[in-house]
Amino acid sequence: MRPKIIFVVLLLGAVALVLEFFRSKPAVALPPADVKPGSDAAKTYPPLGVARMPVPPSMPAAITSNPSPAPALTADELEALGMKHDADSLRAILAELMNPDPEIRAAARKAAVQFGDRAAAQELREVAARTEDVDEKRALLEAADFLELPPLEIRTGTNAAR
Amino acid sequence: MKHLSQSLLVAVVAAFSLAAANVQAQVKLDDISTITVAFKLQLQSPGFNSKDGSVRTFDKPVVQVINTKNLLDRLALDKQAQGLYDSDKFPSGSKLALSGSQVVVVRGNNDLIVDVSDIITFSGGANDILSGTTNNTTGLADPKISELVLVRLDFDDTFIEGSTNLRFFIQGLDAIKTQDSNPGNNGNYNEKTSDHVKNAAGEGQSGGTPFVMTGSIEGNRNVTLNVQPPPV
Repeated sequence: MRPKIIFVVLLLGAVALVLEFFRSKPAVALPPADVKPGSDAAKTYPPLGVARMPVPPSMPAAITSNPSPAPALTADELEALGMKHDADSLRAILAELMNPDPEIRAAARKAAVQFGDRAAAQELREVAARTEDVDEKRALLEAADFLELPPLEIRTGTNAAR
Repeated sequence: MKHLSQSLLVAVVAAFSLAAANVQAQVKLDDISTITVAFKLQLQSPGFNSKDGSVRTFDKPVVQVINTKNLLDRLALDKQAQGLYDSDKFPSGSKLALSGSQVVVVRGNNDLIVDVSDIITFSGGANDILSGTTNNTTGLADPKISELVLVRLDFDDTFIEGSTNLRFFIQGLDAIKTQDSNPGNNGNYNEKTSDHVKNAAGEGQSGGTPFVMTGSIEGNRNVTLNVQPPPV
């Protein structure tokens, strides 16, 4: 075999090893470029459909599902998120549906209604199924019903009402 | 060279003028009550006659909803139709708010976008039923005071050519809770107010179709104010 061919084969092998090394490294999740560090959207939230479950105090920290949970939001912050349109805001809202504080849970439920995404209805129903408080369960189901209804149709043009 | 310098100078002056105009347009409102609504509407179905014309059948009412975002979408279209806003959507995070007696749309940072008081108005009843404690010297809640008052929201964009043709009113009992902190040495204090009309009811027309409606209206205000105790 010619030395040039041997060199090329060795070089290709080395490149393959380097590529494999980088591929096996865990991927680092970066926030989207338009998310400012420290903003609500930059916090780490579970994927859509996973409300944050309260962790019993006896459970060791090592087996909690989220090693760095997002700090709980205030009612004002939830109200503001309800007026946004991005999926991160909705995830942040839904994550607070199981917050230990009933005021925050109520604020999250109201924010979900204002966000107005039909996809959140199923999440509200699942949380309702796990909720023992009768009034809260009813409020969650009413919120889900609301989200599943179509918004009032907009009819622009000639003013028929006049 | 001289010509280039003059051009640059003109460009710089123009840029500064535009920036100044932009700053002037950004009016930040410090004392607002953000408003959220959730309404469920039951609209009249058109109905149809039987083949022999002996009976007319009406289907169940069509149920549709309005939340704050839906209302903002309409207001953006209305203000665009009036030539007072240059887009058919408000930016994400925009809020409906009450500033004094004016109903306004503001950005998430409370910068004023547009006044919508010609379309939405709030009016209150004559009686104001109080419970709780107020301070006789400052007149502030000490620390909490609750009020019950009748409130009515009117929405009417039918006077605007090319509008969304919506007109309704909805009213109910507003439970207002006000909490004041103790004023500091400089007289500054924090006031939190929350309004909640839980079981509001009303009626209206959308594009000429009549409807009845139920729902809730909520308001939230969190502001730092100043009070000076009267001289002794």
